[in-house]
Amino acid sequence: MTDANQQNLVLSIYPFTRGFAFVLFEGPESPFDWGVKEVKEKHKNTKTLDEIKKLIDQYRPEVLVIEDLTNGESRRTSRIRKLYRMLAHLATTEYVDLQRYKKSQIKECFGFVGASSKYEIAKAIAIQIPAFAHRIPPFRKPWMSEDPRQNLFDAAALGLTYFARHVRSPYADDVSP
Amino acid sequence: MKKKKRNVLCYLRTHRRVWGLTRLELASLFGLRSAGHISRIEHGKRAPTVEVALACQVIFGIPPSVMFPRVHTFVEERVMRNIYRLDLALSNTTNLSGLRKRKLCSQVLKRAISKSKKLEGV
Repeated sequence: MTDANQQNLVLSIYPFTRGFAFVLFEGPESPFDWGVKEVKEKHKNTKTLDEIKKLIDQYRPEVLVIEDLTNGESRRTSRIRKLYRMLAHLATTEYVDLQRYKKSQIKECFGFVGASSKYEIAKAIAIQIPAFAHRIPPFRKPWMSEDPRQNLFDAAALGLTYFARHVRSPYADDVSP
Repeated sequence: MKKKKRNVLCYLRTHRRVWGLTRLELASLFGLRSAGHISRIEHGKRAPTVEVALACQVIFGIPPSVMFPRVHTFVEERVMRNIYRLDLALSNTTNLSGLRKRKLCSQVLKRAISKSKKLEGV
């Protein structure tokens, strides 16, 4: 883990109503930093963008992973949509590769372990990354609002989808056709 | 414009959070009074003391060179530069003490070369 052999960092961001969740990965099973930052006051997008820029300046990730809203399958607010556009611009100006994944791609990625709902995906992530196991939110009933901790797992799901789709498995050669 | 260099400081924060420890809890495990000391180490504002580095190894089982890669690289580079200078200074020596020191220098340099080759995958 010295400077010479450090892997590239991947930053996945998942904004929500009261702020944003982020997970910084060194590898699919080794998160480097993570958290949920709350932005409550006015000008949320500007403040959120400032916080994300601070993270990028601190860690210099190679890749920024966000949700893909282009096909309309996601029901995010206009503010979040605007924030995603601002994030895309930030990635360009900071020379960070941008990757976007649709909800369907995330579900497809976690479908291999039998997880389809948000809660099941969170449980699958908690098994893969024990550091997140104690942060798993309780099962959400229809009358309950979403737990802020769920957003951390949504961010982690984006990062893990990136690794599943872009990083070659070390066991790939063992699979016979 | 050139891309800025990454600034990974240490893995103390990562390992602390993996085990769900707060800064105050970790400070009390280290025998420190305030959590501010831990915060300064995590953000690279202060280098870890020998006691903290060894305490990290005791608690998390991770050697200081892995836990604090930046400090390790900095110290390693400085020491290697001084070893090289000492080796040059002793290049014409003939006494036994000097030869013994040169042997140490060559061993250190050999170790560094084999380490860098291993990292490059040669």
